[in-house]
Amino acid sequence: MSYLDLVHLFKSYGSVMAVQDVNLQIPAGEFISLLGPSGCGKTTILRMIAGFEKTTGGSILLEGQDITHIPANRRDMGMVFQSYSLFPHMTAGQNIAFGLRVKRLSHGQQRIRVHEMLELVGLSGMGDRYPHQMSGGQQQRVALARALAISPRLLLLDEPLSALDAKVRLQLRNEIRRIQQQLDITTLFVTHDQEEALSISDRVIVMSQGRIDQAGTPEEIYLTPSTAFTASFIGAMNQIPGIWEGSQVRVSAHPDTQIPDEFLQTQETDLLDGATVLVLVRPESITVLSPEASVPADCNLLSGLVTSRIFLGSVVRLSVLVGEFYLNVDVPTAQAEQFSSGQVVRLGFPADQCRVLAIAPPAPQSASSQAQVRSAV
Amino acid sequence: MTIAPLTPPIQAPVQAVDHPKKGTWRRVLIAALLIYIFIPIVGLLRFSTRAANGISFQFYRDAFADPSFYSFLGNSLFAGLWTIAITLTLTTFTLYWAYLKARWLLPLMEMLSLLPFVVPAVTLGIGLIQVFTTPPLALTGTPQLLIGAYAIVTLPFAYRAVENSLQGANVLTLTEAAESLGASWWRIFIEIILPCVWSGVISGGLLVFSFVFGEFTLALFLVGSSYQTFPLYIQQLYSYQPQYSVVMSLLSFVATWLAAWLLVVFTRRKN
Repeated sequence: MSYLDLVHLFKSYGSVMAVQDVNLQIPAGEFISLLGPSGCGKTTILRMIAGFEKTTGGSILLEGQDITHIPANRRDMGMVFQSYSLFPHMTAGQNIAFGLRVKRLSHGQQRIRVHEMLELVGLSGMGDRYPHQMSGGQQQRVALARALAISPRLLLLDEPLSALDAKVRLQLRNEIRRIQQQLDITTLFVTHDQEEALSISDRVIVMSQGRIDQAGTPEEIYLTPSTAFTASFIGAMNQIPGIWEGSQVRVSAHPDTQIPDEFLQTQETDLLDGATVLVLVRPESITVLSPEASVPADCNLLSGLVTSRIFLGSVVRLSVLVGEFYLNVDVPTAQAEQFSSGQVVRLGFPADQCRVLAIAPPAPQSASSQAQVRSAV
Repeated sequence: MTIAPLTPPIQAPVQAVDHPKKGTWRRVLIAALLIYIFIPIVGLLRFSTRAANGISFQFYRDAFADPSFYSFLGNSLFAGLWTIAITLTLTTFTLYWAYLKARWLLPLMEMLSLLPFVVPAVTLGIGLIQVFTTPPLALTGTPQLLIGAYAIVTLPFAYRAVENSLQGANVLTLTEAAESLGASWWRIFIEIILPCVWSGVISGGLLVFSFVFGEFTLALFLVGSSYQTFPLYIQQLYSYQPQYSVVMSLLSFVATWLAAWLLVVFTRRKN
């Protein structure tokens, strides 16, 4: 049995469904990220687990115990908020000790635990400082220490890094993961930052419009997205629309051009002829080929027009118009000089780097075509 | 060929320079305000210390020796402290609840809190007498009715002060943070929220006290001679011992200024 179970969880605000039929099983000690854009319901799920929001339907089970209707102050969960929410009139030490006082630990025990927690989050000797005397990163460390001090059954992190600058965010992100592994505490982390989620999670739950879109390990989510939404939300996945024909994908050329349709090879086999599909390929998987370069048999080839280039540091992202759609192509910065807007380029990408998503079944045959089939028979 | 810079040249920061004429006008206005405030007080001071052979503080000594002075002062303090307790308790709890559970109520509450300003004291006094003269609510002449009326009319002062503090305190997240640590609602209110809005509560309390200490109309209508407050005492003295009345007025000024000074101290600390 899993440690935390969300069973058919629903939440609505009037006619708006914020969370729809969410089912999730989380084993003990796992670090789970709820990832999605604003308004996808990820924070609502976290708040329902914490007890700050009532569920509209479904239940929440923690270690087999139904906690759906237990008040927040009796759920034993540590929560860290985006806005730090330290008690401003208390020192860091007093903030950490607050939950321990509520639990009626002796002064001696409180002192020891506060010391342990400050050490854990790297703030030894700063227990006497007030929140306004600390930086954002330090305040969030105190908030983490305060949440962990009570030895919660579950650690809930509600976008704890969003208010921090990039450098501190990266540092604290790694600290959070280290502490989580050290304490082996089951953790739910809400974020809209895919890099954050992919880098520190055991599993990532991608959410869209109140539903779980895909759940899996960071590698699964990144390399094998199972929906068009996850594919578009994680990274800058190219989506090439086409029709499945035989064992290939026919990609229509622009109707105004004389260019014939292209056929892409993939490693998919189990699709119905005529199905509308999306071929997914990452920008870093596409190579710009020189005109004289030979193309391996299992490599797809497309030609297109460079329309823009964006400098991203280690790579330059080219936007290439191919037929009716644009492809993003990442080129190492050192090689990017040779490409400019208006230039025609050849793009190659291996079949095994393509993933195919069927987005519509084959169109039903028309009456006339069925008659033709019958007469032929 | 010269190349234009991409960024405009850095300019020295513009410093606010007081125009000499503007500064003079400011000083004149402040002087006029001080004269306006202090001339009557100086007049009262001169009147209350005038003696045939120069200056005498005899009236002050006599006033402090009068036992009824302490009785009336006690009545006003009693009414003031109870009003503070009632108004601030009502305001703080209700506003906290609204901030947590019913934010949509806040505009309505704000409008209601301003109502006492638009109802004249005479109208309120007469209305309350009408309602509270006959049993089972025959409260006319009792301090309870006076304190109740004060609690209504001082609502805008307390509301504004507490609301300002709550606005800046992020009470919802603080409450949720404390709740997740296992604290009960009552504990959260006492240990977390109240200290965060304390300066607002103190400011509101001082404003309420200043108002009650100098309020005359409602006291005259609702309690009259059966529960005499400090302003009623001053008015009573004025008819037959004007110098004593002036002494009391000056004391009333001092008490109000003291409250105002404390208000400034707490507001500064808050900022």
